[in-house]
Amino acid sequence: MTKVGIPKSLFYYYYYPLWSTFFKELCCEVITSPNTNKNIVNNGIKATVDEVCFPVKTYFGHVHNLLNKVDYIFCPRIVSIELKAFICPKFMGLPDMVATGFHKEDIKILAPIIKIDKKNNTQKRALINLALSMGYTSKQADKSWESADKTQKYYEVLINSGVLPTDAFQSFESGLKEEEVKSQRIAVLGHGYNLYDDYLSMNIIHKVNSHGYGVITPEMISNESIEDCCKTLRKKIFWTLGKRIIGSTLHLIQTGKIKGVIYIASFGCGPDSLIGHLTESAIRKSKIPFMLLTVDEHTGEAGINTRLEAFLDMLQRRDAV
Amino acid sequence: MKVTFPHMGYFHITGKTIFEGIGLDVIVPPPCTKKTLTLGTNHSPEFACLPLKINMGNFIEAAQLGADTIIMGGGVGPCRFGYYAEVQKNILDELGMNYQMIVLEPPDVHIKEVWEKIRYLINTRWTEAITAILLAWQKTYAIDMIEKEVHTLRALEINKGESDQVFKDFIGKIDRAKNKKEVKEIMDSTKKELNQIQIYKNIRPIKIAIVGEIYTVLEPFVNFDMEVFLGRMGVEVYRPLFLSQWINDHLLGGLLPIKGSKKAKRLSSPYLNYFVGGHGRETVGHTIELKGIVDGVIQVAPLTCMPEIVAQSVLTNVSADTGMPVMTVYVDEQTGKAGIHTRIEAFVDMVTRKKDLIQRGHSSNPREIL
Repeated sequence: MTKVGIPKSLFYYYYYPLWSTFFKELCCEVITSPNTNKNIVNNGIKATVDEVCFPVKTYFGHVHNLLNKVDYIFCPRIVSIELKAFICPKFMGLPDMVATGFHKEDIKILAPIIKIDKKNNTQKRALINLALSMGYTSKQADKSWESADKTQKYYEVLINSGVLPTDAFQSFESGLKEEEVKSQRIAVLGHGYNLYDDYLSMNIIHKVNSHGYGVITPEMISNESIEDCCKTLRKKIFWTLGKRIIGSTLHLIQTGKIKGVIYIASFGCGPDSLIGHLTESAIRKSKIPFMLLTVDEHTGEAGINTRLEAFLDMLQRRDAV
Repeated sequence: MKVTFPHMGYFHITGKTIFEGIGLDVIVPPPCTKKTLTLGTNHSPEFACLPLKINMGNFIEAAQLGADTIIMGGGVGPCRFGYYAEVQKNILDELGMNYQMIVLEPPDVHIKEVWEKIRYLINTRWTEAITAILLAWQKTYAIDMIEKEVHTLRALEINKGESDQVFKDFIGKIDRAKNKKEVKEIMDSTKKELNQIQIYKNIRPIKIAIVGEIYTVLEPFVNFDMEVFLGRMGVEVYRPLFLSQWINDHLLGGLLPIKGSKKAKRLSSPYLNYFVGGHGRETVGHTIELKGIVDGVIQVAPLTCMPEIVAQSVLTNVSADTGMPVMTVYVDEQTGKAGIHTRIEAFVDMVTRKKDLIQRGHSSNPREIL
């Protein structure tokens, strides 16, 4: 049985249900790397150049972890997941970067190009072509896609209803656990692969939860509201994730359902450097408290904890005054 | 309406010629200095890349001279430059500066958007506008041609700095040139002057190429006059990126028969198989293309530049496969001149030693030498 490795990093948090179901339906064994840990991060740092951002370094660590366990590593070249918008240049060069980070003999990469353009080029076509090139029949490929697409849609409905991706993945195995709904909520903004990776985000979501606040992330806001809010911008944002962040911010300011905003940015992240600024300037006009946390491999958890506690204390005092 | 625009190398000559030619009042921002950088850094997002910050500095300094309209480039991604104008406008508004910003970029929906901007800007007859654009092109091309010669001369001249002086005078004269005839005369006389410079005839200098992100390559202020520094050390600089070439490739669609970056882009495969925005593919492609032509490559980029980071990642393999020494230099507002110069000196020493060993019949693979 062919073993396909999916690194638990970057777009894992957006498309894991789709990708894993697709390969499972093709009778491949899908192996994911463990949760990010110190060891994975260290191996990632060794395999990359210094200037790469922290999430990509972590990705390399996950690839390293999978190297001897699988036949192929699934590392798609994600150019765009919607019309006229990109993710980030690093995602467009990711398979090439991964290929140079490791010895050629060690690594076999499956790198379909995921790109949405006017010619109706979709993820569907990319994955089906990949399956065909691996020797599967088009009937098998189509069937796998149907099933994968169904799982992905179910997953997206879950996320939109306010479930965290990590909880959603668990629910595929053990059912959804009931959580009490918290009345006061804080928006935690940033790229999904930073927010939902507990190591990268220093577990910020759970920390906020444990202080009695609920959490809203950009993924929990419907696409329609985001698109509507982004229409008010002078210039279209050409990074999908950045657009989601700004759109969510504007939507949350309008609806006024949040007590505060925490933005988690990677050090050296291109989109974050500008989107963070625009978010901040939009929020400043609304008088909602805002905190920007920049994380990388040198970030100390104690420092983040202190800043988070100070922020939450401040929220409470505002209520009291 | 008094228009201004950001600096990038000698772009101000091109820009000034075009905008004055179409009947606008032009205020060229003061040359980039430490003050520009400080002003820009103070008013920019902390993690934005360096060009954005220096642009900001240019705009603020130009405003002090009375400029009220900015003409700025734009884009549709994935490189950050495409969103510069929007962020800059946002900051300028917050600072309370009444700037109007006209962004020239590919249209979002319809070509009409670009057309309307151009119609708004042009205040003369079309024939005059076209003459101005042609003159701007001739000036740009002349500057690039002369600069190419200076790259070679700097390494060979006996009295260091002579060619730089000629080049400086030339820039002043070409800036003032009124028509095609004058440009040609200035170019011819400068060539004559350059030919009269005394040079060492029997030296074969080492050649180093400078590749990377276009702003940091073309703007001497941010790369600490890297070309001059290398030249004074006796290194011949080879630069594949020129403003005229960029204009031909990107604005004229490769219409004119001058060497472009098409070949480099093609060569970047199999190391980099997809476009990554900015000059990522060109950086990789030029490094491959220059094997056997130059002795080493220096990649320059602003810190956290996304396309160049991708390029840098794959350049390690390009370097291992071709045996071409490659050094990457990132610059930002914290970069120190001495640090960069020390690194360049060390790199040049290493390249010189390697070339020397090869000429004495040793293997070109550095691992085998050791």
